[in-house]
Amino acid sequence: MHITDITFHRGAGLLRLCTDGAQEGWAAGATAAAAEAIDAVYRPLLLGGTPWERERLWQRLRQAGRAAGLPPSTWGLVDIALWDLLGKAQGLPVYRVIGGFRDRVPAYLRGTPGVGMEAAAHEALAARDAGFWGYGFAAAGRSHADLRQLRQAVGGEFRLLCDGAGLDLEGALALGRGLEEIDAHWFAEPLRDDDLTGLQQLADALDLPVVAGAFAGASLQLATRALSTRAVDRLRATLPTAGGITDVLKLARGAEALGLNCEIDWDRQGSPHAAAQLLAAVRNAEFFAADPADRPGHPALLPLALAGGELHLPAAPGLGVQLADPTSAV
Amino acid sequence: MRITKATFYLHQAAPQVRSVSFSNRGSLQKVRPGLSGLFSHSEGMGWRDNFHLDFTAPGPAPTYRLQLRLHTDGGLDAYADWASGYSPTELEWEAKKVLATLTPLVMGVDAFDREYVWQRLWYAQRFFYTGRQPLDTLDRMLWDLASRHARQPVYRLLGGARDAVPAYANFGGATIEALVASCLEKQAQGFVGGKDHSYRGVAENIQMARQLRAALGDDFILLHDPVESYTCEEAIRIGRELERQHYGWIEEPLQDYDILGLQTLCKALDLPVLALEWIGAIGGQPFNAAPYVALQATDIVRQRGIGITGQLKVAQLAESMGVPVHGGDPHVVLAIHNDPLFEAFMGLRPEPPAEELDCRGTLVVDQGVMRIAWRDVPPAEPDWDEAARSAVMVIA
Repeated sequence: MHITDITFHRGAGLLRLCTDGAQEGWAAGATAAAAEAIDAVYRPLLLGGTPWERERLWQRLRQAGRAAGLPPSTWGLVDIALWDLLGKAQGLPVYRVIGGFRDRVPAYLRGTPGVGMEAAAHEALAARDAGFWGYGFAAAGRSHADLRQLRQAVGGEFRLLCDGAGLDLEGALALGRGLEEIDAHWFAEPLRDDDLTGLQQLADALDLPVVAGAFAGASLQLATRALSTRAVDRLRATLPTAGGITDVLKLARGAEALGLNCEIDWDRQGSPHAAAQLLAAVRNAEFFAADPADRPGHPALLPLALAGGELHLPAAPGLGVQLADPTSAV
Repeated sequence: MRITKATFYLHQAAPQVRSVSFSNRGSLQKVRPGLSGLFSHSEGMGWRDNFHLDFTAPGPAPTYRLQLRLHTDGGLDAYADWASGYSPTELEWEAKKVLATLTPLVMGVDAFDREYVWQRLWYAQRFFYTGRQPLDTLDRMLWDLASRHARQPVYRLLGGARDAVPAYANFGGATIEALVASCLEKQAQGFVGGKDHSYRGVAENIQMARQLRAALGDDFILLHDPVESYTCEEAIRIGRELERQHYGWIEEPLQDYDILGLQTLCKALDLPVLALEWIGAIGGQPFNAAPYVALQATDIVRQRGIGITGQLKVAQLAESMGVPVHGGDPHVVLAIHNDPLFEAFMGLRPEPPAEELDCRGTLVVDQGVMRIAWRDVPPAEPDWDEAARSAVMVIA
């Protein structure tokens, strides 16, 4: 099996690796800029390549990508499409190509960005009643009284996850104390900058787990050092921003060996499929981040199945990407 | 493809003459008193002059082989040899122990859910004090099944980073002259490097390193493995000379437990320090490798992960922390980038005729490299009816 062509379905943002075999590999979320870069930089590297040599290709893609100044998401998309292809070639979902850990992943609902406190409380209650394991909200600008109000609305047992604050250290510390007071589950991306010193001070000061990883795409080594030095309590790796399945799997394995979690998230511009497959293949990631059902998902793809607050992994070979209109990519 | 049943087949194997011997030319000849500060006032690791003791049975005895089969509902079964020995009763009860404690943990589990099995059996190690063998064997059985399912060798399932890896050989000898001759022989066989296991103490090992470098030339990779026989001070002294003789690394210079000593050594030497073979053999990888690397108490991680899955975890941990690994399964070595050399302790392995190859692949060591030769054909599956008929006992 060799790669014979790389095409893009621009409407769906779909990268397609075509082969001389029966299957092709897909990755959703390819922007026009990514498509252009993949064409210019990666096409010559990929054509004639053997998908089974995924690791060799990943090293080359990453090297060439760094030399050309491409963001990790560029090789990440190609890597994701390679995994899709390898899953299809083996008749297995990607998580079982890696080595499956579970076929259902607990999910929390990520609230609508920018909603007021009252609306957030409604969303959180709806999430609780739908069986979700928690509710994630952006906490910047929330007072301690706001936080207490949210806790009161959902009751004592339900997990509340602070999903991004973007503050300075002083503001994050103050907010963190409020989050501790309401027994929040984690404090994700508290700082506005990739400030490992600030994160370390925050992680040292707070009992609440500090989760961060906007810097995860910089390098495996830098991201892992944030764990080994306990600058963060958990790493967060977002696909494909931090890279492909290969990149994030390595981050997760490094975190596992260090006894820590690597929370696996997905970029809302793309699709959740790669993150979902990784979550089903590793032990040390807690939740799938789900969107509310009424929030528009990827326009060209069928959404992943959620039931009872859990993500159910597709049984289909590969990533399980399904086009809403199957004729649209042909 | 779910695992539905476990069956052990106890087979008769070829009779063997049982023999154990000790001598001062054999396994007990390690560190003589006075050669290292570790053993200055003791009998070291058992040195005695003219010591020889030989236990050999008067004739061949029957041997037995215990084979585990994990049935699946998907048309392919997983199987491997689990244990062997001279006592069928012991093997029978080993099978019963495994059936009672371990295989129930994987019943109903998908045969491709290797991570679940690894994590489950990892924990079972703790509760049943199993040691590393059950997880190692079960994980390899599942990778073997995946290999036959995909008709690809495991190293390609893992990502196939390389086709071939430069190989070095171990060499030995009772005198420095014999060591040099042995190493030259390995060089002539095409190996790119050689590793001693010399416990001569610092002064003699310095002589050895100089003579080896002079004899082998500048391009040959030389590696020194004193197998935990130095104190930290001694390791720094020999390390400096090895740097002058541009050695590739010093392996297991101190006891693996000596984290602070290893840290001191890594800071002092430019020469890479390779550690964790012994700690890794006891168990605990990749988890106990992580703090050593984080504390910079080793420059290269000895690969002792359990199963293919565990070895990949060790390699990926090392990559994430920016250090190389060394050792382990040839399939894992070929699948990763951060393992620069293959230790060909098996010596040369010529490529078999093509018709003998299948998708599992066969290890080849020649022309200075290790590779895996394979063909896109599945191996013949065992005839389980025949296995049941010919077995001494079937235990399920």
